[in-house]
Amino acid sequence: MKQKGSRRIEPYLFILPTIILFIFVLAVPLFNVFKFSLGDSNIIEGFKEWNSFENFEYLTTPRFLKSLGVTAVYVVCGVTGIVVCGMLVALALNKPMPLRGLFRSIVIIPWIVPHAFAASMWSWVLNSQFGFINQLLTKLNLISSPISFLSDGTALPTVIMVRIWQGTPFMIISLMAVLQTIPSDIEEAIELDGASAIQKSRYITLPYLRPVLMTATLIITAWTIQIFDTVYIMTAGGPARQTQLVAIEIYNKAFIDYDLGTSCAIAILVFIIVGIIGFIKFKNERMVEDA
Amino acid sequence: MKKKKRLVLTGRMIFVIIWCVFTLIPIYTAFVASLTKYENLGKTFLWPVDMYYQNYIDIWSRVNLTGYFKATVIYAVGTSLINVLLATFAAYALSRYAFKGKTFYSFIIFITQVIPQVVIAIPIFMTLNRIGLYDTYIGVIIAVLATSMAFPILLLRSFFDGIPVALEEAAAIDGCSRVGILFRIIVPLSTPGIATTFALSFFTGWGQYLYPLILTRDPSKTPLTVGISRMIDNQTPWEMVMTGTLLAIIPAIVIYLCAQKYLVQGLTAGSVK
Amino acid sequence: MKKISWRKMLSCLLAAGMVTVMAAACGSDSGDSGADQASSAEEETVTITFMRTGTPEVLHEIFDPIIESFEEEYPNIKVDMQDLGWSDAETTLQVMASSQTLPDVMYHLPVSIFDMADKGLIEDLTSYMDDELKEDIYPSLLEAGQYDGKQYMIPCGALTLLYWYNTELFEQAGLDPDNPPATWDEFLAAAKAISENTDAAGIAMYGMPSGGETSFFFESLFASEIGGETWDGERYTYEYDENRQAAIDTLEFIQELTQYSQGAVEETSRFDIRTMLRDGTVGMALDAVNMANQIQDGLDSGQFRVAQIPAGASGKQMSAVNVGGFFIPTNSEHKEEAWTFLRYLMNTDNQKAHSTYGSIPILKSEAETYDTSDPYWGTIIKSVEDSVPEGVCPKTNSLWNLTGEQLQLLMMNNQDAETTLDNIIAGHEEIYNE
Repeated sequence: MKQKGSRRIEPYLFILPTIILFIFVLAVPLFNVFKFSLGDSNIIEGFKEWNSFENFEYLTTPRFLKSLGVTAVYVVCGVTGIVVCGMLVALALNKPMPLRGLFRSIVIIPWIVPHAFAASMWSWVLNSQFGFINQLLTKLNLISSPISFLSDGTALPTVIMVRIWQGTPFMIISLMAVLQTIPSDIEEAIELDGASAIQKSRYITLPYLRPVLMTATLIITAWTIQIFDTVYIMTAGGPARQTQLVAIEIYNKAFIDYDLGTSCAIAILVFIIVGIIGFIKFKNERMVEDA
Repeated sequence: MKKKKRLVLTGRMIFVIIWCVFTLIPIYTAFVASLTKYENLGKTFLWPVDMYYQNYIDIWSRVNLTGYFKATVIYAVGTSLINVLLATFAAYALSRYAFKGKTFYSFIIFITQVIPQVVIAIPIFMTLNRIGLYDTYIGVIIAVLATSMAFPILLLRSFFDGIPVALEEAAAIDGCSRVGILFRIIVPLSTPGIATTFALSFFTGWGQYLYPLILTRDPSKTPLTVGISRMIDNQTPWEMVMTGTLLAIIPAIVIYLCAQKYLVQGLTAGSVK
Repeated sequence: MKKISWRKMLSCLLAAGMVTVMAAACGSDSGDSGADQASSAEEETVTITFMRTGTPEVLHEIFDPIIESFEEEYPNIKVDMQDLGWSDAETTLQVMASSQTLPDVMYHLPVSIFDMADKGLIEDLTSYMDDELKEDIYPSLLEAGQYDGKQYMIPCGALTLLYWYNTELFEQAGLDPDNPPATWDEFLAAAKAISENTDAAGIAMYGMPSGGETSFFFESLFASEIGGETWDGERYTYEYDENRQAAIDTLEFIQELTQYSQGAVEETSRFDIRTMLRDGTVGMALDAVNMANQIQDGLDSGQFRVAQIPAGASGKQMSAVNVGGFFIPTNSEHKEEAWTFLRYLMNTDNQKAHSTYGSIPILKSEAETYDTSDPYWGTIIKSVEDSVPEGVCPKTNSLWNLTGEQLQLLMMNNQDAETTLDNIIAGHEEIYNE
């Protein structure tokens, strides 16, 4: 049983299926992404001919830089919102309260609602003719004419709000889990010492949360960068490209402009950004493990 | 002191309730719309004015809902079964062995979960098309697996990490093989973890949109997400879209609510590290 | 011991795999068995696949009876109609083209068809067409299906821009419903009168460029301003340079209209304005024939009426015409049967049934079945006769996208007409040169 040889090969057999999956379903296609980005390519014919990095020129145009800016706002605001809301909800739910179990189930629900459906339901809630929110505000006499949630200036905040709705559950789950590992005697002790709530969170809660908070934030960031269907269904990038995320740009280049090459060039940029995030998270994780 | 505590509790309660309302608004309004007649959509507010349940009957004849459900269940069950199996093996290797390339392997696993689908979907389609897996259930399932295997592996790994090695050593002395140990000792001890992994992969498979859209052609392989989204073409009235949407998410929500006790437990115990 | 357990592990993997494969097999079973039975029952029966982009349940109502009678007439051909919604049409089309699985007969828009034709995927139907059909289709529509001198698409769905208005609101505003505005100035004045004298907004405007709708709106008005074609079919470019002032005037007209429109124009789609007109929140709208489905009751009762769009400087009340049609891909294994079915669909009665989905008449013989003295049909048929084809080339999606964005900026009052035109011309230039 404890022969050296088999010991050495065993772990590789265990991870073999995932490796095979990785190679065929991700590595080969990723290689193709690089190939397509280097030439004149389209979906129907694949790679046609080398075009001396012409595809990457699009990445420097003001048109693309604007959508990069939009994506930056979307990701920063979305992730900040998710972190703040997730933390508040997790903290609020951490201690006993009436109906806590029920609340805990409810707050997770958006996580299991597929993105495509979240988009259609929110479009309905925010609809300017019949939508619930506009009706509510009108009935409360808070507004005289309906608010347009997906128009000039409001579209981006709206899709960010929907992102927060979608993304917060993951944050809540991750944080709730750690919060429960904080030994209650420490908390009681510090409370008896007369520490204020702020002191308590600064010296006890935050240090406990930090590693998980960090990881969850990075994962959420990577996920937010790749959001496509929610925004595409709600706004299709409009009005006037105000919600034109990089992911939508990738899709449009491939399917509307029939330009797979440029689409893949953008994809590589996204991949590099996501890769850097992955690397940070990974280093961070190893530091925790090594400590 | 007591008064202050009560105040804090009330504050927490109010905040949580507001958040829950925010969470439920889209689902609730979809519910109201789904019970409303087209002409009355503008009049309905907090409660459906006419309780028009006919929508739930009409939708079955409007779209091939049965077919969509079947395809969705195949994707969801297929994804979750295979994912649990793969993740169990991979997580066990990560948890119990030190091997060359382990760090690199973990890095790759992490990367898989952050590869944007929209980046990879077209090249995956081309690869699958070449090897003859285009327009098959299994093609979609392996694509989903490849981009969603990370979380289950990480989750199960932290479960396995929590199981004392001493147990295995005892079993090994009794002549049990590694795989035997894995299935006889580790897996039974991590039931909440396995269940959580299963449920999470199930929801992942249930909610796929881009992969089935791009990787299949046959109408019988269209899942709910794609089928219902097709209705959002501005010609299908809203109440139908909402009825379809609700029917599509209700099974997932019901499964979640049934399993949520284990889910929360599992996620808590194996929190993402 | 060891060996056994590895085998166990393998068998577990296999079992899981089999479950899925079996599930998959069951899934595809139901789809194939029908075809198998059919082929065993009747020898040499050919099954062709047919796809018409659009709302499935409505289309099935139209096509199922046609298919049934077709199969009766041609017992050796079976037609399998498959669904494709507009929301994912482009994606699915590209993927089908790439995997050579396009259906034998398909309906789509010329943009994608011409792009695929460029790649050798579309059958040139010129030689298939008989004179009767050629004569019967309106010339501007037939032309819209041609690219590079070849007939790649047989038009079977077309839209012109029409002018719809609410007679009750007209009267309230002191306007004469029997004499609707015929020029842009009159039109603006009417919009102003309605928004000032009634609770409703003057005109419904839409800025959502989901499928080139706003570009079509602009192109139609531009056509009537210059009184002719807006697109140079030889160079595949828009004719803005020669008619710069006319284009600016058209854009200014659009911007002026937004003063009297409902709010949030940029968020409104062409579909939204139909409920607005129906519910009386706006007095007028410029929209395709699809409006009729939404306001049918009001049309019957006389609350709503339709007229030609007002004329620009040219004095001609004309619109661009947006066309979709059938095509046969080169990957089809049953081209003859596919054409037989396509030709059958183009029979007057079948096309008439198809047109109810939301199209103006395509065939002259179809138009003849309507009573042209009826103001509704008179208007609609005249709009086809006077129309010019909308410009289409393989790059049209990109051109429309760009025009749509610029029009949004114009309608949001973020830029003036001249800047808008300059941006459109510069953006198009880049796309042409790509």
